[in-house]
Order: sequence, then structure tokens, then C-alpha cells
Amino acid sequence: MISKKIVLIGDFSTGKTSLIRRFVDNQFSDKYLSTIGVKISRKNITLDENEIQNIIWDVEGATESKMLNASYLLGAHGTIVVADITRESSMENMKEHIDLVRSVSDKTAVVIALNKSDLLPRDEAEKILASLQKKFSDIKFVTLTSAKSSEGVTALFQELNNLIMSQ
Amino acid sequence: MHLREVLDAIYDNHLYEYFVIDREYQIVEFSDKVTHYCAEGYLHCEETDIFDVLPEFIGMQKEFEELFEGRKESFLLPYVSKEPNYYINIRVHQGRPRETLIVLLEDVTNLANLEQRSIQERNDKSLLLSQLAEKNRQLQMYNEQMQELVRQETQKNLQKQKMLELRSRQAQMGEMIGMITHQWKQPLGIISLSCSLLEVLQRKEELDDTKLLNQLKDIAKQVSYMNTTVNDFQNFFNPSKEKRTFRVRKTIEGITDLISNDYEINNIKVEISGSENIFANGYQNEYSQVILSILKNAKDAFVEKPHEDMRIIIDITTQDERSFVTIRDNAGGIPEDIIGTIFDLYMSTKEDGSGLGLNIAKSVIETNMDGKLFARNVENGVEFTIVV
Repeated sequence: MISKKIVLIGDFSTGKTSLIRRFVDNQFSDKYLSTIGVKISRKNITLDENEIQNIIWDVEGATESKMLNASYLLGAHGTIVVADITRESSMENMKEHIDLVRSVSDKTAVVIALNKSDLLPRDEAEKILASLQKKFSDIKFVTLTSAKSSEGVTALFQELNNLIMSQ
Repeated sequence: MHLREVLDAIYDNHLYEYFVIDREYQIVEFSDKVTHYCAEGYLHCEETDIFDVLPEFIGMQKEFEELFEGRKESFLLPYVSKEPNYYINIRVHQGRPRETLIVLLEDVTNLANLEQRSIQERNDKSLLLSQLAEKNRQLQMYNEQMQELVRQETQKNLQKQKMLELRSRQAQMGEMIGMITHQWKQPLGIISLSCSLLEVLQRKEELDDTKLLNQLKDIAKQVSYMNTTVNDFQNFFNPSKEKRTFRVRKTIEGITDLISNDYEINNIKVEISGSENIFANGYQNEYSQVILSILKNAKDAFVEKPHEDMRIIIDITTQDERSFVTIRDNAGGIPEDIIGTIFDLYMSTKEDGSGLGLNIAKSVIETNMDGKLFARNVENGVEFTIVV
């Protein structure tokens, strides 16, 4: 079995831990507990009959006063940049996070998750999605997710693994 | 105390554990309690692959190689959460000899828990501020949208207003032509008569110089009257450029003179009472047009329901330095259920009415001249009051 390191980064309170919890344990909690440092989870997935172990790094969210620690990104095969679709600042900061990922390794597969999509009307969420797909045209997969409703969560990890394996 | 005992004491109470790994990433040495932090099922770590024991290192072969080759001295992974409730800092150093690396695990659980509380507090605050900022941004956006809507609606209203003014102007032009036609009927008749008389006299060879000159004088007089009439109408329909103080009675008489022929033909009597020395301040021509609009409505009502004693009584008074003009007719009045709406836009009781006249009249008096215009039913008719 091959192992792949996947790192989730983004601003604080964008739902990185919830996305992982939904993906790994299929659970969700509304309670917000800040992540400190990094927490590592594992999840095995099957892709084209190959079993892959995802080593998923849930990294402490970036704030204005504390930026993301680049050492967590070392050796990452894939990165999920997570933003809160209801918080414009978290979407504005995505470029900074992507630049950091690229500065550590330009080979890492990157996807974007616009999380908490359940909090916006569908048309409004899709409008934002379209505008960010245009803005980040070099990112191959930008999607709406909701850890609460589980919308797009499996597809997000599946697509990232596809990208990792195709590299 | 012997040195060995001191070192043992330090070691027994330390917060560090370690692994030593070789170039094959195999664990060659480790401290007693390091297994606390190992992945489940790896309690005996010796000769085990470090990636199995610490999955945190998966993908980091490149970094390990850099350490083995001396291109990097160390790297640190701070605050790594481990089950059940540990936080450790993982630092990897070059070993001695270089063929080994030392992986130091420092228990920072207490520090991490403190920092977690501090970060939680800070993030909760930031989140609230961020939500507040977001709400403000949305509010600002709604405000801008609202302003844009207001701007668009104002633009639409301006266009509507322009259209109304144009239609009103066209209606006034039509009225003016109609009134000129009425005013010209009599002099044209006289001129026609003079021409016929001249022709008859000429045929009978009775036309001498005196008769010719007399008839020509009469014709010239009528032409002059017609010319004056046209000029008066033209002046009357030109909008006043600025506010000024004017004599109310004189202004109203100017209107009644213009329409006198028309009213005489329709047998409508107009009576004016009130001092010559009552003044109003405002746009005189527009004021005249309001008077004309009210008089015309009265005439239309009389034409629809004529009777023997058709009469319009105009009374001019003054109170508290304001002029009061009441225009009362006996044309039957306005049905009570619609009298409250007669100043509304497009409201007309006539089939061919535009519904503009009284609406514009009210706007002219109340908006442009800070006055009042209202109407009420009186015995057998309606009474309009203009206060300026």
C-alpha cells in the first residue's frame, strides 16, 4: 500500500478539522475548537483498484498574527486549501496560502475547497465558486464543500488523490 | 552525588525522548519512554522503519537525505498532536557519526494546552470581528445597491417628469391655439366684413378715398388686436425665469381677457372681486396657467351641463401677507367619491382628459411656490382655493 501525505491549510475556522472528520469518521460537530499545531489522521481509499493510505495533516489555521508554519508542508503530496465561503477574508487569503505551498514545493497537487456552502443560497454559492474558478484558473479542482451536509467532501479527497496519482 | 546519579536523575525527570535512525531509516536506538508516542502496535521499536513508527515523516525522505548529506542541520515539527492527549515537538538532528540522525521528541502538552486556550480565545474574538466586518460589508453593499436603485428610480422619475412636462407643454400649445382661434374669430369677421364692403362699394363705384381709408383703418385696428393677442399668449406660455412679486388681480384679469371671447360665446360670466393691491410672490406666468387650468375645467363642466346662469366668481383676499384666491363655479361640482383624487396624476373625469392639468397646477403652487391649492364642493359647484 502506498502512503500519500495530504495537508489541509487555510485561515482559522474555515472547517479544515470538520472536513477531515467528515471524510475519516463521517461525523460532524457544530462546536468550534481551534486546532493547535497539527493533528494527523489516516484514511485508506481505493483508487483504480489501488489502495492508498492518506496521511492527512490538519494544520492550525492561519491568522493575521500567526502565519502557517511552512515545515508542515514538507513532503506533502497534495494540499487542500480551505476557505469559508461566507467569510470573504478567508477567500482573499487563499492566494497567500497557495503561494506558500508553491514556495515549499511546486510539485504538490493543490485543490481548493469553498467550505460551509450550506450556509449560502445555492445560486450565491455557485456565483462565488465561478468567480474563484476564474481567479484560480491554474488550480485544477475548485469545489463547494460542506462538512455539515457532507456535500463535495468525498469528491474533494478523491479528486486530490487522482491528481496526486497522475503526477 | 556521583555524576552518574545526577545524569540518571536528570534522565528520569526529563521531557525528551529520542530515536536514533540509520541511513536505511531503521531505528537503531531509542529511549525508554519513547513508545508513548509511537503508532499503535510498535512498542518494540528497534530495527523498525521510522516511517511506520512516526507517520509524520511520510513524504519527508528528501528532508532526511538533506540532513544525512549535511545540507541541512535540523528541522522541527512543532506541536504535533498524538493520541491520547499528547502534544510533542519533533526535531530531527544530524547524529554523530553522520550516518545517523537523532529524532528528539519533546513533550509540550502543557504548553500546547495553554496555547490552545489562548488561540481559541483569540480566534473566537477574530471570528466575531470577522463576522461583524462581513455584516458591515454586506450592509454597505446593500446600501450601495439601494443608492443605485434610488438613482435609477430618480432617473426614471426625471424622465417621466420630462415626458409629463412635454405632454403638458403640448397640451398648453393646443389650448393656446384653441384660444387664439376663439380670440381671432371676431376680428377676422370684422376684416372679412370690411373686405366685402370694400368690394361692394368698388362694384357700385361708390368707393371714395375717405371710405377706403376708414375701412383700411378698421382692418389695421383688427390686425393690431390680433397681433397683440398672439403676443399676449406667447408671453403667457413662456415660463417665468425667476420669482417676483406680482399683482394678483391684474394677473387674473390678464387671463380672463385672453379667454373672454370664448367665455362670451359659451355664455359663461366671470366676476372678479378684490383689491388691486394684493400681491403674491412667485412665478407669474405659471400662476396664470394654474388660474387658466381651473377656469378651463369650469368651462368644460359648463359645456357638458349647460344652464341659464353659468357663472364663475373669483374672489381675491389677503391674510398674514399671503394672497387667497377662490374660484367658485356653479357647474354642478365634483362627485364626493373622487374629489379627494382630482390632483392625482392621470386623474381625469373627462373622456379626453390627460389628467395632467390639476396635478401640474398643484405641483406648481405647492412645490415651486410654497403655496397651497385645494378644492371642495360648494352649493351647485366647486371651489378652488389658491394660497400664495
